[in-house]
Amino acid sequence: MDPTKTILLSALVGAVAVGVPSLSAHAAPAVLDFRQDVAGSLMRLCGGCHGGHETKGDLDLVSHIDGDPLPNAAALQMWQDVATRLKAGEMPPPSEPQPTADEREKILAWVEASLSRAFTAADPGRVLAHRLSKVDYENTIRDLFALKLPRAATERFPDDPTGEGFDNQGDVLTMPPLLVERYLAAAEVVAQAAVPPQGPCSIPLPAAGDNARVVEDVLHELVPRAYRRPVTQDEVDRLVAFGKAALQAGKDVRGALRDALTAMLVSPHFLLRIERQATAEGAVQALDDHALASRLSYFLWRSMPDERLFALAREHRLHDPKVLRLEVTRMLADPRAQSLSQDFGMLWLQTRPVLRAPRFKRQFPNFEPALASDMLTETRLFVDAVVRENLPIRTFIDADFTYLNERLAKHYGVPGVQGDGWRKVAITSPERRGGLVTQASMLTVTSNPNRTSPVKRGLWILEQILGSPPPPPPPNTPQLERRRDNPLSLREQIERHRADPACASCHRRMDPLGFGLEVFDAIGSHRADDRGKPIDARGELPDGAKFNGPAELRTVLLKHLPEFRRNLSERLLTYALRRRVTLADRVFVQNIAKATEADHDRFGALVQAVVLSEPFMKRRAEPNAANVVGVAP
Amino acid sequence: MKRSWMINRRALLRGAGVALALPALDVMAAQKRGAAMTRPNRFAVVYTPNGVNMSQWFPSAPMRDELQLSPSLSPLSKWKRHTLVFSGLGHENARRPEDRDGDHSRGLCSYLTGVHVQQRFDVIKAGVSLDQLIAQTVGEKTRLPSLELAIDPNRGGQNCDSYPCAYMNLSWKNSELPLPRERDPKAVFDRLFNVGMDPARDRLRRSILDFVGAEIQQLSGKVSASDAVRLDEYFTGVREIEQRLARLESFGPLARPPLVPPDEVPDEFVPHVELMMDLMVLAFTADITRVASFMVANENSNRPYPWIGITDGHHDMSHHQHRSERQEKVAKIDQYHVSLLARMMERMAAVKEGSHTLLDNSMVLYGASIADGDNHEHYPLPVVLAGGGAGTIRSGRHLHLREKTPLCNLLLALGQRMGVNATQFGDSTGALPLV
Repeated sequence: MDPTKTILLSALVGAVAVGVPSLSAHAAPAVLDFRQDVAGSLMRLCGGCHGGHETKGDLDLVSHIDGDPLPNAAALQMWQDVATRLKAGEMPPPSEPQPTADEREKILAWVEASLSRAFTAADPGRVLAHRLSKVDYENTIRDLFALKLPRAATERFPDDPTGEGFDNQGDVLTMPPLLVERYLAAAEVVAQAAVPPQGPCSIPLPAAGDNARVVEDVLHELVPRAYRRPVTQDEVDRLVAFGKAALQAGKDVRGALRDALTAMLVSPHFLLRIERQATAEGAVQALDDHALASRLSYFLWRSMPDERLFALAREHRLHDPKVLRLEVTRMLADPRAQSLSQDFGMLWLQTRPVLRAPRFKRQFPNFEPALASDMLTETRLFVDAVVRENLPIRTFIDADFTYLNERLAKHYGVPGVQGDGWRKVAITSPERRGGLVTQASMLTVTSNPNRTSPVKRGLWILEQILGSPPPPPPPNTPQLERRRDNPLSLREQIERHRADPACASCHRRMDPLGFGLEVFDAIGSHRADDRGKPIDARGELPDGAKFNGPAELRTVLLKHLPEFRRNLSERLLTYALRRRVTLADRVFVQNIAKATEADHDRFGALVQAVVLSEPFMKRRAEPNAANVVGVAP
Repeated sequence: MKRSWMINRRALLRGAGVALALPALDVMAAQKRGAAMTRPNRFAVVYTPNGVNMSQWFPSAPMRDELQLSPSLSPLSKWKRHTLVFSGLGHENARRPEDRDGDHSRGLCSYLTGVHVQQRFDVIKAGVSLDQLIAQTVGEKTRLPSLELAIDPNRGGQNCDSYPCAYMNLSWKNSELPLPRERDPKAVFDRLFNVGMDPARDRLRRSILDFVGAEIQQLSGKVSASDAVRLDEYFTGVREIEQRLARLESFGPLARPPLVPPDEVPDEFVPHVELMMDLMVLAFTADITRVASFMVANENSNRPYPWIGITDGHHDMSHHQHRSERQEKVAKIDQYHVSLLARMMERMAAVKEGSHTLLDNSMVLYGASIADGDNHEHYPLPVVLAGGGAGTIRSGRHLHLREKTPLCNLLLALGQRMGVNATQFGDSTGALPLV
């Protein structure tokens, strides 16, 4: 049985009468009872559509209101969703009765308290054993051999599957036969490149000694690094055997080494990341120091641990929080930490598709591949600056600088930037750019081939920044089509669309955010008008917040810093753990967000909090498998 | 006679005289072992996304049996005799009445697996797909068990149409292992013809694979049950390559066709699709494999087709809202996709196999997992079967089936024709008679 469920169900037994510390002093009693304090409001506010005669959105709240509010784990997820919609002002729809402030607070507090009770017992979870992804593999080879990886080695790896938006998730990094083939071919290319006598990539060979001895010496040094842990003599010997066989067959010492390295590079100990465990069932256990070293290095560098991490692991010092903090700081200052912007940042922000964004030549003649690539580079360098300079995470929303080269500067209308080189440029006109939501990469990936899409831009902000995407639209949802002969402006069309109550609940949260960015066209260029019509960049959110244009939009977004902080914590934890972060992890996410806020919201503090979190340093044990692998079917 | 075998990339991108020239196929056919004596059957799937324009797809005159081509199927006119058109097929397992979303991903991953996939993110679980079931059955008879091809890269994002993105796959080796698709024609070509084959290297490869197998087995007792699943996958892959190396030896060397695809993945859709289809035809012709799956585009694809005058995205248009200009655009895309099938059939028909052709000895399942792209229904599915199935199919007909006949009945019938020993697949209620 899934231990999270055990924890959950035991927590759900009994009445849910809970303390509510967050309520204002006069608003409510200190303890909330579902029947007494919440059920009536829910029935009045939600019961009309969600239960009884109809169950809109496949949500039946009435049965929970009348019966058991928390029958199982799925109900917790459901209440969490209810709270999210209510909090966002998405529900109830504007045409329906609205909750009083008191009702709203009570419902939210009851959900929060129920979730807290269910998930107090901390289950750090576990990540499935997985192969190195393409990025992991390339970086690991680079660092293992100090080798510039030949392009031929990995160019034929199939695309890595993504999970949760990232290319490093354990549950989908499977090992299909085609990939085994590719790993084998890559091992041959890499081993060949690793052994020539000259060049930066050669393995330094001892000057003298008999050839078998040379192979042994090299492997003794190399195998523990390749397997990322101490190895047994036997493990090395099994590889040395390849070298000896080659020598016997008349190959020279380099040929012998090459054969042994090829075998090493397809060993499951190299290609797979398996965290070994003691056998205690159900228990939570600390990772061993070498597993922790790999977690750290594959999180911050997407590569193998370096000498210092190995040394700390050997000395069993890596679990010391003080040591970990220092290591995180050291690792973030290392050039390899660019991986955080390149691999985490680009996939968190989902901006890579800008390279394949279709645009109509006639309408956007300067949208060339080089410009698209510049857009991506700007965002990567910007994220990298936040990482490298340890800036507060609010910089992502509101910054007074960005990175430009001449082409992109021209595109932005920023004077005085010359040449292909990238440089940090101060933003002097806050009305226009600053922060992720005004960068051309985001503005372009969220546009259609021929026009902007305030809806998609709003959705992007909800998903990537605030972490509260609305549910997908039901089928048969009318979509917008802009026709030249349509007398309505895009905004008028969207507003008409929103008049439909089925659409309104989500769109009144999404669309206004996008309207605020209407001063930017479908490739992120500033515009004064939209095909002759003046730009209207005003927006109003369901909570009444009003803004006009990107600068005021940013101010509104900054008011939602707690949501952004929680979202970024969750995304970074997902990336670090290489597994999905679920409701069961909510306490960990909350703690990470809290620790980050307490340390001035610096990005480095966020990374440290992730590294020091329970799920990063520990894992749930699971019984060992019987030796079943390889038994013929 | 002067022939230029090397096709340069520029020529490919121009889209003129594209891809692998037909004479090469005859060269390949000649060296096949015993092809004239036996009559091997082949199975290919050509999958298209986003459903179709229903009114232009199905033959309008319900004249029993006689095939009258609809506008969308009109490119098949020359190949009518080799075509079977179905109406009435449905795929109940692609539906989830209590859900309102996820039809693209659910449709795709249930299309060949026949299973209903639950909308959850904590486990990835579908089922073995028909092409892989067939590969398990006939894969040992050829150098490669199967090919899995596609045009588009993997879709990214936090989820793919309300499912984990792992479900955006057509071919599944088993319920937990979706297979990666190859989109680089040159890589496929090199794999087909084992380019750079080297006996000494292959000997070393074999001993390395032995070593890896032993390492995996030793390790597997020391890891948890869920981690062992990964090791098992790895072990299976190792064994498959070992078997393949052994087969290569017994089959003997295979002459490479005197032309090669370009080094780079074409950036343009048309030459890319044509190359991938030619590679399938080539692989079948040379009997390198008898099983292939091919995704013409990712599910949910929003690709515009400007060369046929469609500058809007395919998915956007598929939500046509009963507006005629959108429906017409969808029909135009449908017809264009079908013309790619017609081209593939033409190539297959040009390959002689004794007194028959490769087309006679193949079954190409063509279609989509969504019917009308606007409402995401999975009935009636647009399905066409090209080829004669090595004399097991009476083509040139329009099969009117009872309403909501399971797609799996057809899949079962195709599987049986490829030697799969099964009487049931997915939610099948019996193999569809095709003669």
